[in-house]
Formats: sequence, structure tokens, C-alpha cells
Amino acid sequence: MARFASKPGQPSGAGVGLRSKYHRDFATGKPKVSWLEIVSENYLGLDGRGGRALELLLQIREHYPVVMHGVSLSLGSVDPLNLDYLLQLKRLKSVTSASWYSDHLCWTGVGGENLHDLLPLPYTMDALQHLCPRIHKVQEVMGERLVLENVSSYLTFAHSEMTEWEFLSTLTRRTGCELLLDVNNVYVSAINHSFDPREFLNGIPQHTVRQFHLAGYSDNGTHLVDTHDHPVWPPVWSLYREALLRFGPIPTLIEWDDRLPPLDGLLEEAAKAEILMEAYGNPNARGASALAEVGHHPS
Amino acid sequence: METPTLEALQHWLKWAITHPEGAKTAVAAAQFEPKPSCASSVVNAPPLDRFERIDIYGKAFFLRLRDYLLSVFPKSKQLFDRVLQSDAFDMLMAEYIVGVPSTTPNIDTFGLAFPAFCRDNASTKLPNEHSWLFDILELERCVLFAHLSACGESLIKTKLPLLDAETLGSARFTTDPTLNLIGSSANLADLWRSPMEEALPSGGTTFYCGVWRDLSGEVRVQTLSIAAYTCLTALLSGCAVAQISISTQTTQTQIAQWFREWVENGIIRDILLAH
Ligand SMILES: [Fe+2]
Repeated sequence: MARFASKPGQPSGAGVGLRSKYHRDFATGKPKVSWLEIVSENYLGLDGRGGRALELLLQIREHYPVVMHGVSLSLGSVDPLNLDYLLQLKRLKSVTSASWYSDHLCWTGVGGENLHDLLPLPYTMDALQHLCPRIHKVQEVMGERLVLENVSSYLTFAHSEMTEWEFLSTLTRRTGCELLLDVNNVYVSAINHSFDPREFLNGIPQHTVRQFHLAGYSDNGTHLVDTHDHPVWPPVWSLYREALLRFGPIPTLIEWDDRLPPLDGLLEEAAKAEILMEAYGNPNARGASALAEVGHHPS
Repeated sequence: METPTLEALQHWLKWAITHPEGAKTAVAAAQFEPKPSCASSVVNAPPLDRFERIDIYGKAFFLRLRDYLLSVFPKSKQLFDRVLQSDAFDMLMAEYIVGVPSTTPNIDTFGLAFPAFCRDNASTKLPNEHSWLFDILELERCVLFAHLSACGESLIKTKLPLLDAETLGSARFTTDPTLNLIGSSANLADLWRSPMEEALPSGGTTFYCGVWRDLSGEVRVQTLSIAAYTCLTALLSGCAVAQISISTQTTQTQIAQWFREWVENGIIRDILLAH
């Protein structure tokens, strides 16, 4: 665990999502993990000045690099961007010295209401034209690049004009934003919409990925749901190996939000990811044979 | 099929997802459907039809907000169920989710208006002897508020040793910004701690309790005597200690003892000296 030496503030290797259940573990001990990701909104408090959760985070943060992951930017919504919220994010980033901030390619509400869900967008030229200036605005306010995550989805739109990966790639090209490639989301959407997940990976430009997510889905028989309440399933580990071969040992985060295991269970998942990452570029490493199963080792 | 605008699509999907009876029923009862209808924009892709696909989002929407309310009001849920032996609490949650849509980026704050909603919408349906159930909701709202609020450091401890009795008597104090005081016909603090075991209120007595963040940052819920409650209320309204003693007919010695306690447990945070 934590074989990847992180410079202060610079995540590398595999991290875990910090959830309130683990605050005590991290505040009182110093569990060995390379870095932490927080859900930004959980630390904003009533007015962006934070509450108890932020106090604990500031203690924990002294010992780990941290990145911020938001769920309410609502980038794709036709509502105006919420500048107050953006400024709260900016303040949080400053007080926690988070290395980067991310959110999702989705909309979460409209008409001033927040559904608190990551809702899908049609992949059209119109949607691209709507999103690009909004991403520019976010990056202007935050003063740095946005890291944008692909979501799991359960429906598609008849009027989409391109694939999700073409849409994401175009956004990175036009705005300079980076990507958080959620490998579990790629797999879940691939099953739900019958596409080849490797085509998704191969459609993403190599230099654009800043971070990976791994998580466990639930199988509802007719479709998969991105529940974040299981260990990472074997097909997602397989796809992750392919992602490592294509993109390199990008910082990887184990997302677990529901039916949380004891912290050790979560750290074990991160350890598995680090074994695979270590194998990248090192044919003698422990995970090398696992990588070789899915493709040629990079030279 | 005409391509909908992004705006029309989002308004229509929001309507379909948040319809309590699901997308198919919503569309069947089309008189309230936002126009243009965007149903045909969602792909029918076996094994699920378009409405089943929309309903995945609909079910997740209601479940997520319900789970959130249950995580913030767990003791209220237990006590409503215990006292009323009905699904009244579940109904209130469902009505709140539809009736008071979240407008905040932070789901953690969604529950703050729930107790007031329940009081406004269910008080006529509850027998009077059970009206304390709204107070337990209020108590859990205060716990949520305390968790979500920024709480400055205590400055009074360093200042106290420098002050004489006369200065203290005329001074006003700043309390913990998360402090809330509640009066109820139920012993709320005890019921909050043991909702299934504690005896239910029998009426006739008023109980008081305070909710605040202590110096370690933890949220405290504590029963207060009526005299302590009255003194704290006076402190909160900006009274000086000497005035409190007169207006509440409490001895200086008793007030001094509470005062020390409230400095130690973080209720009193700072002193505003009279000039
Ligand atoms: Fe993710």
C-alpha cells in the first residue's frame, strides 16, 4: 500500500474516497493510503464556510494529498451557472490545498431545482456549443482547468449526433479541460447501451486523462446501476488494465459510497489498484502478468 | 420527430423523473405534461422501454432524498412510527420531496426546512397530545444545523483571568453560533438518545434542552433546568449577568456556577466588554 511516493499535495498511486464514516479513522490514526478524494459539497457547510466535516478534513488533510470531486456543478443544465457555489468551491480548494477539482459531464437540475442526480445529456453539436462557454467560465472563475468525469447512464437520446467519447474528446480539445475517466462508468454504460467499452477507451486522447475512478456496480438483471456499494468487479478490473496500458499509471481512486466496508476493506481495493499500476512499465513487478493478460506491455 | 431544444428536454425530463407515480403514468395523464413532449427523444432499447429507463432515474431520485432525510431525522422516524403506528412519517417525507424541491447545491442542507413543512402540513392531522413529535423533528434539525455551521474558537478562556467581578457583571457574552434552545412537553434529549426505550410524555410538564457544538467540535444535546434555560435565553438576547440575576430571580452564585460550566462546554465563546 502507498508505494507511490506522493509529493506534498500531488496525488499519485491509488487513493480512496474520504467519507464521514472514516473521518475518525483518518483523524486519529494515519491509515496508509496514497491520497484522498473528497465530495466537495460535503465540506461546504451552510454557506461555504464549512462545518464540523471541514474541521475534521483540515486535520486529516495535513497528512494526505487531497483532490476535490463535486456533484452539483450542473455543467450541462440550461440554468445559469451558480457563481456563489463556484466561489464556495474555490474557497474550499484554497483552504484544503486540493490538487485539482472535478465534476461530471451531466446536468443535475433545471428551473432552479436540484435533483441531486447525474442526468445524461444528448451528444449533439448544440450541447457542445452550450457546454464550451460554461467550461471556460468555470475555469476562469476557478483559475485552473476543470477535470470532467464521464457518468454512468441508463438512457440515450435519439437525436444524439456522436458517441459519448467523441463528445468528451471534443470538449477537451475546445476548452482544454481534462478528464476523470471513470472506468466503472464506462463499463456500466457499455452494458446498458450495448457498446464496446474498449472503443470508448480508444476514443479518448491519451494525454487528457488526469484521474481514474474505480467502483462497484449492482446488477439489476436488465441493466447495471452505478451504486458504489460493492468491491470493483472483475470485468472492471480487466477494463482498468486496458486503461493503464493506454493512459499509464494515472492516479486512481476507489469510490465507495454506500454499504461502506470497514476502512481496511476499502484500503485493500486501493492496494489492488496500486499493484496493477506498479506493473506498468516494469515487466518484473507483481502485477505484470495481470497486465499481460489484456495486452502487450508498453515498451 | 422534431429535435427538442436542450431546455425543453431538461424541463420535460425533470417533470417525468420527479413524478411520484413514474414516467409512464405521468405521460398517460398528459394534461400536465410540459410541451413539447420529449418522450420520443428517449431511445426505446430492449430489454427496457423508454419509460422504464426514465424510471431508473425517478426511483433513484426519490430513494436518494428519502435516504438522506432518514439519515438526518432517524430518531423522528422511530418516534413517529412508535407513537402513531402508521406510515405518517414516510408520507411526510414523500410530500416534502415533491412539495419543497431542493434548490441547494448541497444535499446536506435539504432537510433544514423539513420540520417546518411537517408542522405546517401535518399539525391538523395529529392529535394535540402528540404535537411534541414536531419538537423532536426540530431537535434533529438543530443537530443538523450545528454540524453544518462554522464554529469559531473559544476566546473567552484567555480573557477571563484578566477580568474583575464588576467588569464581568456588566459584560455581555457571545454564545456558540450553533446554540439552539427548545422547550417541549417531551423530554427531548432523553427521547433523542433512546427513542424506543424512553417513556413517552404524559403531559403537564415542560422540558427544555440545548443543542450546540462543544469545544471538541462535537454536537451536544443536553436537558436544561427551566432556570438555566431562562438564563441562557437572557444571555442570548444580550442581557448582562447582573441583569439576568435580577430578572430571573436566580442567585449570583448559581449563575456563576452555570457560567463556569458554559465556558467549559463551549456554550459561551466570547465576552463583549461594556465601555
Ligand atoms: Fe466516478
